Amino acid sequence: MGNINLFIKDNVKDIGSGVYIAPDIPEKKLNNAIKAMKCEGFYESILAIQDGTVFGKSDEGFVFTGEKMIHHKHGEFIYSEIDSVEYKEDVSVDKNGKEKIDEYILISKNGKSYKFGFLYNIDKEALADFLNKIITEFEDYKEENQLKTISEMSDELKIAYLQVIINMTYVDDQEIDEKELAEIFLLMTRLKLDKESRFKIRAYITEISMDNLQSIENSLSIIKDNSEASHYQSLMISLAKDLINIHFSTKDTMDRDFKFLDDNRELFELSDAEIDLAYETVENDYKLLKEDLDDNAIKKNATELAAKAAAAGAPLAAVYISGSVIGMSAAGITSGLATLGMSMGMTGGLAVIGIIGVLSYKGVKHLTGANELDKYKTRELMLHEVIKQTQKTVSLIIDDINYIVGRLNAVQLSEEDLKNDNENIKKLLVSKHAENKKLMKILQFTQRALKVVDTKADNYQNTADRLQSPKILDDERLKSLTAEPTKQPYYDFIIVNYEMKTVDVDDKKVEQLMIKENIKTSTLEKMAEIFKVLGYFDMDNILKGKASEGLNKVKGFFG
Amino acid sequence: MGVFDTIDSDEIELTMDGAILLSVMTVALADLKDKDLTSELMGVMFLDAKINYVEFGNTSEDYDNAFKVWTEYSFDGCLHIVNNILSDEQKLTAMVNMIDFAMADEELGNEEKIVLNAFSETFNIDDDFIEIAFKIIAIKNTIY
Repeated sequence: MGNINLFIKDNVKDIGSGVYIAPDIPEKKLNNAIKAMKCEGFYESILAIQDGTVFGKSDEGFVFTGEKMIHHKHGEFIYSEIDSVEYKEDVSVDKNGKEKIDEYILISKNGKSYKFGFLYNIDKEALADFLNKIITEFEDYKEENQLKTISEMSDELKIAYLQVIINMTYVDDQEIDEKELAEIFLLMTRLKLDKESRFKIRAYITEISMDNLQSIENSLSIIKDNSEASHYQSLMISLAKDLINIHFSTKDTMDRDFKFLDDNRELFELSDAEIDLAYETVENDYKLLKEDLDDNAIKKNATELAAKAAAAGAPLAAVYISGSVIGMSAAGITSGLATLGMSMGMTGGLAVIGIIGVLSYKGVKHLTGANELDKYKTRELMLHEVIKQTQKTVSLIIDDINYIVGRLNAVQLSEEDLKNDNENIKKLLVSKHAENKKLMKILQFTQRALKVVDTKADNYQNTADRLQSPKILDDERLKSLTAEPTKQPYYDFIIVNYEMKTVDVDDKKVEQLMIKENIKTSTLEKMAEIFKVLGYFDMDNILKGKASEGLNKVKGFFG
Repeated sequence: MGVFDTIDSDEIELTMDGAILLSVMTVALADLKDKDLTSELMGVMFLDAKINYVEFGNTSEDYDNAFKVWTEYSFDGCLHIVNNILSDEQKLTAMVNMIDFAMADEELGNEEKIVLNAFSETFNIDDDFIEIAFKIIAIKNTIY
C-alpha cells in the first residue's frame, strides 16, 4: 500500500480535464476554489482541484486532499467515511421511443447516498474508479502540507540534507576547502537552520574523517522519515541541484561530468530527466547573476525551465524548495518570479507581497519615465534578496569562527590526564595536538570562507549597483543637467566610467556611450547617487535633454 | 643536513630548521604537568610559520619531524640529536630562540631552567652570551 497523497497526485489527471495538481495550481483558481468550497483551514494540503466551470473560474468542481474530497454542491467526503462508490447508467426510453442514458455516480457515506449527476469536464466512470481505489486500496488517510519549503521542514531533515552535501565536498580530496565551506554556509542560511542544528553541522564538519562519515543511505533515510511522501521527489531533485551547484562553483567548471552524483544517482532515485532538470536549474540561476538579463529574458528562461520541469514530471517549485543556488531563499525566488506573473503556487502570500511591491514601484517609475531601469526590476529585486542572504551568512560565519576559537581554547590536557606518567602524557598530547591542528586548519578555511562570501557579497552589490546607472548614457541629457559650473565635477566623474562602443541597433551600427566593465562598487554607488541627485531619470529632465539635443542639431545645421 | 646516524628511525630526517624547532619544543614542553601544553605547541607552530613561511594552522615537514622525534625520544636523546645536527653558530641561534620561548611569559620555570642549562652545557655556550641574551630578550618583552 502506497501513500495516499502520492496516489492522488499521480492519478487524479485521469478523472477528466481541468485538473490542476499542487504545487502547479494557478493561484487565482486555487483561491477561488478555496473560497467557494470553504477550504481556508486546510488549503496547504490541497493536492489537486478539478475546475468544473465552463469559463475556468474554478469555484465549482472538486478539491482533493490526502484525507477528503470536497464537491461544491455535495460538500465534504472524508475517504474513511465513504461506504461505496458506484458508477451507474440508467437506460430509459422517452415518449418518442428514443433511448436515453442517465449516467451518474452514487456515493454512500454514513448510510446516506449522494447522486453526482451533471459533472462538467468529468469522466464519471474514471472518477468512480479513482475513488474506489482510494477507499479500497488505502487505510491510512493523512493530509500533507503541499506548500512547504525545506526551510519550513524539520531540522533533522535539514541536517541530513546538509550532511550529504558535506560528504560530497569531503570525499573527493578528504578536505573541505574555503570555497566549499562558503557554499555550505550559504546553503545553511537559505535553509534557516536553528542554532542547535548549526552547532551539530559545525561539529560534523570539524570532526569529519573517512571513518566517521554519515552514510548517504542513512542520511536519505532520515530525509525520508522526516518528510512527507509527496515532497520526497522534490527534495531529491533539490538535493541534486544543490550538489551540482557546489560542484560547479567550487571546481570552477560547468562540466556535467560529476562523479559523486553519477555514483549515487540510484540512491537518490532520480531519473535522467530529473537530473537534467537539476543541471538546467543551476545553469539558469547562474545566468540570472552573470548575464545582463532584463525582465523579459528572465521570464523567457523561467518559462523554458518550467516547460522542462513539466516534461520531467516535476513542478518548477520542486527545484526551488531549498531556494535558488545563487543565494535566494525559496520565498525570494517565488517572489521574484511572481513579479513576472509566474506563479509557482508556493508560499503564495509572499509572492503576492512581491507583486504589490513591484507594481507600485513600476507605477512610480512609469510616471517618472525611468523605464530604462524599470525593465531590470526583477533582476534588481532578486539581487537585493541575494545580498540580504549573503550578509546573513557573513554574520553566521563570524559566529562560527568564534565557536572554533572557543573549541581551540578548550583543547587542553585535563587534570586527570596530567595524573598519568610522562610517557602517557606524551601520547595524550599527540592526540590533542592533532585535534588542535585540525581545528586550526578549519579556522583557517572558515576565515577564508568568510572572505569568499564577503567577495561574493561585494560582487552582488556591484551587479545591483550597476543597475542604478544607465547602461547607455544620454550624453546630452547629462550635459544639460551638469551645465552649471558647480555641477561640472559630476559630469567629469560620470563620463570617465563610460566608453564609446559600436553596437547593433535595428541592424545598424551605432556609436553609443556604454557603461564600462569592472567599475568598483564604491564608484558605482557614487554614480547612482549622482544620477539620482541630478534627476537624470526624471521625465522633465529627459525632455530637456531631448530639447537640448534638438537645439544642438539646429545649431549644427546653421553653424 | 640529514642525520640518519643520530636517529634510530629510518623515516625521520631532521634538518637544521627541524633541530632548532626540536630544541624549542623541548623548552616549550619542559613541564609535562603543565595543562597548557597544547597552547605551548601553538607557540612553536608560530615559530615554524616564521621559519618555514607556512600559513599558521599548517605545519612544515621540519615541524612534524621535530614533533615526532620529541614524542619518540627522551629529553637526553633529543639533546644529543640537536647537538649533532647544529653547527656552533646555529647552536647560538637555537639557544636564543629557546631563551625567548622560555621567557615569553616573563617567568623562568624550574623545568625550563633545567632544559636551558642542559642545552647551554652540551652546546658549550659561554655564560656571558647567555646573560646578554637573557637581558636583551627581557628588554624586548618589556617593549612588546
